[in-house]
Amino acid sequence: MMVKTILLVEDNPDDVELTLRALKHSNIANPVVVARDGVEALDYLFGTGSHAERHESELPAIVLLDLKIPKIDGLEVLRRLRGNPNTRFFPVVILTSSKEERDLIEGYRLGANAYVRKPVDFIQFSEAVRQLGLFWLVLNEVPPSEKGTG
Amino acid sequence: MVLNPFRNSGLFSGRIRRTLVMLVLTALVPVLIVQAWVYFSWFETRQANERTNNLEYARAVGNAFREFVRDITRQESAMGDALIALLPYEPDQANDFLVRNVSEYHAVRSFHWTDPGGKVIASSDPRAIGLDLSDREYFKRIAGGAEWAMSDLIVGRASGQPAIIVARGMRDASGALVGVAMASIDPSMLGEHVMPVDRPERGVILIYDRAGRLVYRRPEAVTPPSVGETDPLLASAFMGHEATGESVVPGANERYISARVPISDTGWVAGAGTPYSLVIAPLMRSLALDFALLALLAAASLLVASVLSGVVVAAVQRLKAHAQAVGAGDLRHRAEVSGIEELSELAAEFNTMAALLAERGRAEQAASDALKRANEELEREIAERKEAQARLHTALQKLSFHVENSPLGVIEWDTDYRITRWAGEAEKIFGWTASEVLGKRIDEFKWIYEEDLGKVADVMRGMDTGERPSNISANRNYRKDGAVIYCEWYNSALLDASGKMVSVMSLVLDVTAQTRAQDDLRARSAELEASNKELEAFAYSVSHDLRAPLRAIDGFSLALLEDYARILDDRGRDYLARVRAASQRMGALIDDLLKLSRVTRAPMNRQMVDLSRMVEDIADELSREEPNRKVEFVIEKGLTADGDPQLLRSALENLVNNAWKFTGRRADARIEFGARQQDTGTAYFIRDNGAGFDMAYADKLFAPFQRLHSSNEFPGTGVGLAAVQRVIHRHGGTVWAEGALGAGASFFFTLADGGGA
Repeated sequence: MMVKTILLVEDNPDDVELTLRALKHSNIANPVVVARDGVEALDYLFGTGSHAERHESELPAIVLLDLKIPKIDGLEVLRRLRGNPNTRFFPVVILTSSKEERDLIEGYRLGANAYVRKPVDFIQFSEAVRQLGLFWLVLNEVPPSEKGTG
Repeated sequence: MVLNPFRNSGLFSGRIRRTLVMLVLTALVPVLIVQAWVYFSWFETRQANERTNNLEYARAVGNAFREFVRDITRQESAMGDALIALLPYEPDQANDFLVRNVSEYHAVRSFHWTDPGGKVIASSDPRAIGLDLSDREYFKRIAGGAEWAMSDLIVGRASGQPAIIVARGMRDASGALVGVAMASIDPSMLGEHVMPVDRPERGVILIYDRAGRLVYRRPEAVTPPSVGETDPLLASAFMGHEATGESVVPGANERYISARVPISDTGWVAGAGTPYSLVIAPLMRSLALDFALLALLAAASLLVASVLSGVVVAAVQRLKAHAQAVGAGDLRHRAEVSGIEELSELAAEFNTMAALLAERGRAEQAASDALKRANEELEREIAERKEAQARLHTALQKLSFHVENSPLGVIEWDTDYRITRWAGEAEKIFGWTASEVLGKRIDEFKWIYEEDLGKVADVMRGMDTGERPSNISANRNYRKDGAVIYCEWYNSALLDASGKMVSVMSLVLDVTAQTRAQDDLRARSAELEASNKELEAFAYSVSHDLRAPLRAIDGFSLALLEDYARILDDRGRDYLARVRAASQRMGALIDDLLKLSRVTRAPMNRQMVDLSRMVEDIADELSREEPNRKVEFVIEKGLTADGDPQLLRSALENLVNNAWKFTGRRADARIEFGARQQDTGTAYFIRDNGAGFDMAYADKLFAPFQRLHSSNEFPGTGVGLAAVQRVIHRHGGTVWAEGALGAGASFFFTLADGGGA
């Protein structure tokens, strides 16, 4: 089994840094790939554009997806991900500042596996990240994709 | 001419009358005779029946008395045997024995026991002992060999009272007298016990002794029984024959229908009687009624006879008068041939003639009456029509007044849609005067807004075809000055009797101002919606973008504290801790602000909400979160309201959380939820006994971010009550607080049922 990569879709460098720090705090040492906008995230996931040369084995084990990102927003990224047979069952956790109900509902409606709100208090944030990592990287079994490359 | 049938004379004078009265009386006599015979035979039958009846009673009385005597002798025989068997006996023993026996017999006054010589040797009556009865007639008969004997009515030697003695001799095997048992009987006690014979009403029963003395009578007469009655019936009975007939019963001065019967073995006689008056009383009553009826009948007959005769006489008189009136002359000749019947026939003929004459008179009268009525009817109709005309005229005046002064434009068209009337506000609305437009067709001047021409044509078609003879339409028109105005048209086709349209009446209302106002309103609400959307976008942005930097501030402060702790002194670390606390507090403020805006923006979804249940849930949650706090909750059950469940829950949460928070320093914390009725409806309240507040600041409680306590004292952002107020306002209710510093606080709110925003 390959090392499980984490794809972090986040445009705010502060949040990237804090998320990486929170992962480290939680002793999650998986490699993290950061996508700064929606287009980059989709390129990476579908192996297109700037990520055309990406090896299939580099597919991430989990996507941490911010909703407010440039070019293509988080919900649209999720929609396209679910529309593709390869990534239909991909674990996607929405990691966002927004606590708006309509975002939460829309996120789940589009097939998000979890919805985590980033608290202002970093200690709480670390705890949330730790639990996410524990579940999605250690416990969860991903169903095989239709091309058989889980 | 009116004739009096009783004219000239008394009731029965005149030959005809006398004849009639005689006839009536003659008819009455046989009736009287028959009636008398009927009564006589009825009376005879009754008497015979009563005699038989009394004979039966007398026999019954005789048999009962004979049986009584026989019973006594049997008892005496038994007593005698017993006394003989007891020999030799103590005197007291025998006396007691006799006393016991006396009590067994109703009419027996005392029992005696004599020796064969007639001397009383034992008795129930101590006075009798020693008496010598050998001279008594009944004793002599027993001594002479009779088995038993009975005395007539005597006066008892022991008692001194009237008595009858029944004696029985007791003999040994050789036939020699051993002793005599005697019973002294009180005749007054021979009542229903001895002779159970019932007599109805005033009937009597009697018993005579051999000497013909009345021994017993029931019912008892007022006077004492006399002795020595000589009545033939009694004599016959003593001869051994049963006899019935009339008698005078002693002790009652009244005639009786009686029967007398010998009583066997004794020589005595039993009797029964019924007072004569009793037998004939119903007869007399009936007789009196009959005669009264008869008398009435006779009187009525006489009256009828008298009246009839009067009528006949009158008929003759009328005939005479009539004959005189018509001048026929020979009245006497006619009177000789006419009997009563003929007279009445004649009278009938005359009557018919008179009736015919009267009928003709009535017909003429009726015709004249009808004519009069018709005339009156005509006059009335004319008056009514005049009045109707006057009313119509008034109505027309009123109508034209209304039309001329109508706040609407009044326009009338002919069938070709040429204007025939231009009144009311028409000139004011459109600018043209009547003289400018009268006679013009609808399309002969620039009046209808081009875009609405089709609509107007539709309306006209609807009127012409009769599909929509009365309708309301709206379209734009031009004024004379070229301005476009909005008009509402109320059109009615006026039809003639055959249903053909003769003209069209239109009322016009200028609704330009309203239409513009509506348009404005629409624009305004669109703007409002846009700004609401903007607000929403703003809130969304705040939620996202404002929090991100805070997160960075907090996160990197912590990173500094963690990674560079060793190059920071205590003050540096304290500052970083303050930076973190401030950023977290700002995060909380942002969250609350969003909450507040959400309360305003969230759509209302009204339904029945169980407020009591909600408060209970909230209380449970709080108790679970802080199990160490001891708070008494007093929640009134079953309080419900119409409202949005989520909003109401958030309001109640805020209020209960507040109460919970501000009672934190009390050991006996108490939080109440309830309702009270007041003029404006139900006011719900949450009351606590916590820190309370100064009423001077009561109006500041509900302003956002206003706090009456420092964060050190009680934490909070000051948004909760502002949110509560918005929720309550959105429900159309009000919220207010009452309290005092250190004495707890009460928060009241009302909810408008079904109304609100």
